[in-house]
Amino acid sequence: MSNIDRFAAEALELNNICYAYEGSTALDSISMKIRKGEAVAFMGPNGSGKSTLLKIINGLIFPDSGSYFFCGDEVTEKKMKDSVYAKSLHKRIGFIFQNSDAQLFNTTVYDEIAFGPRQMGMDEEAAGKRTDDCISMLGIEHLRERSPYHLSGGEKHKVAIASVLALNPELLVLDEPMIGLDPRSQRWLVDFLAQMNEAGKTIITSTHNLDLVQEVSDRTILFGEDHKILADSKTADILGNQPLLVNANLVDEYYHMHHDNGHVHFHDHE
Amino acid sequence: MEKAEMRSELAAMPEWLMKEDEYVPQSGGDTFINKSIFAVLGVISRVRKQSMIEGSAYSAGAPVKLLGTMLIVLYIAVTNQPSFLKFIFVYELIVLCIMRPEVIKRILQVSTAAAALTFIVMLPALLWGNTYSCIMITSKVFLTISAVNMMSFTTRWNGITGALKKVHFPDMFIFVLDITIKYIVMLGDLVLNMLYALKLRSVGKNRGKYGSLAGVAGTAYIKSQEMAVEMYHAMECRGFDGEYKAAAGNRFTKADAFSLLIYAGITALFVFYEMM
Repeated sequence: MSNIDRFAAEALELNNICYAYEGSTALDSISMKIRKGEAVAFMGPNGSGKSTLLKIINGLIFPDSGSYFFCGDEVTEKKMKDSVYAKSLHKRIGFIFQNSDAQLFNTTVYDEIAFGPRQMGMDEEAAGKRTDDCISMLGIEHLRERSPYHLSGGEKHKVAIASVLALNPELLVLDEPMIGLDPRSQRWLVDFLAQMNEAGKTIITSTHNLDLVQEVSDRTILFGEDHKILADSKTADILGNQPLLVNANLVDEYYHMHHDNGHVHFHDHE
Repeated sequence: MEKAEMRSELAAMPEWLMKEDEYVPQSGGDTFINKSIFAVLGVISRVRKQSMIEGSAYSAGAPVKLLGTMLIVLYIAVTNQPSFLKFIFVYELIVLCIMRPEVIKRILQVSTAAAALTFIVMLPALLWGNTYSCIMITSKVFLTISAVNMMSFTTRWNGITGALKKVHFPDMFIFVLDITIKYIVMLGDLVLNMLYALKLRSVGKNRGKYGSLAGVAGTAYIKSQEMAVEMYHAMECRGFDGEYKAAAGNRFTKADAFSLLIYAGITALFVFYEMM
């Protein structure tokens, strides 16, 4: 698929989204458009509303005001009460939770991954084929008959990703995917997300990890402590703007970027 | 080296993942999960609200409120005088009037439901002509539940545990109460996220939803066990020797003195009616 085709249509459109938890603002006038095939990172300090926005995108909660469109169709609380519509949206958007424990509720890894295809009404042979494909794609053949809750953090994460991929979602949403992963697993995940994106999947990653954000996204949307969008630009531009990152409380004044020819300092060493 | 080359250890993507599925879900079958989500959300929200309670007109300290509530509950249980119950009813109405509307609504909902249930249980007695007992017991249940709720809806959990310490409840009891409240929120969050995950992946007719919910409960149990062991280890590292020292409540204020005067009045009235 050419880039022009991939980016032709909008996957998401948010207009002036506001949300508050019992009077406490979580999101304030959030607007953005994300095209199909884009890889976008949501960055911001703790409590800036990133996770709340991911829940809105997944149709788990609904904004107090503003509108949300998925593939040109407005997602509303009323529409989500229609179970066919809700299931269709959930099928098209895959949400990978920050805490993998929260996502695993079957007795074996195989059943966990086969849950989605079986839900879709596939016969056991087709569901098994899809499950096996996911298992081999994530390199977790040795975990096939293990109980999910006895796995290590990285293994649980892979099973959680496989269980979502088995539904073949168009949009992958990941909440802090690097947390709790060792460096090798982080590298694997970065490469895996790049592969998914190259295959045409739209990817939204919420992360704090400044070192890896450039590798998982072309574009970054920066959230501020005032629950508004501080910046929406190319990831490299945002990472290169140290005052902006300090303002967003993501780095201190000693932050510097590493380049091929050494590193660039934003501060004085005197 | 190119990024694609560096990713050589990743397996090839299956063909079905490269194109969109043509899938139309069947309707129905998710009411049970939605109801479970609402139930868990309700519990977490109630506990969180409890820890965010701010000063109200009913602003006596937690130890005084706890003492007063215990006395009122005791007097209601012991008395046989309808006039005393009428007086308590008036007192509770006055206290309710200075609370926020949503708190009044919640307290009355719980009390009325408990009283209605008691009345239904007492119906046979009413049919046998024992009207007095039926009305007295129903009224006592209503007033007792209202009194306890008036305290719990206007006092933070840490205030209640501090007050329990002041009235010499055992530290271990307070410790268990503290930890239980903490675990309700932490495990509640975990269960809520698991139910969300179940809902997000239930994109068809979920025939095994009870099995999935059993899986949610099982994982929550295992997680609670892990958390308990980790917390015990952390407490040991911080010098926990089996004795939990809870901090005693707050300073004595004018509101406390005023409340104590009212409780003294109620006690005097109770003694007066009982001696009549």
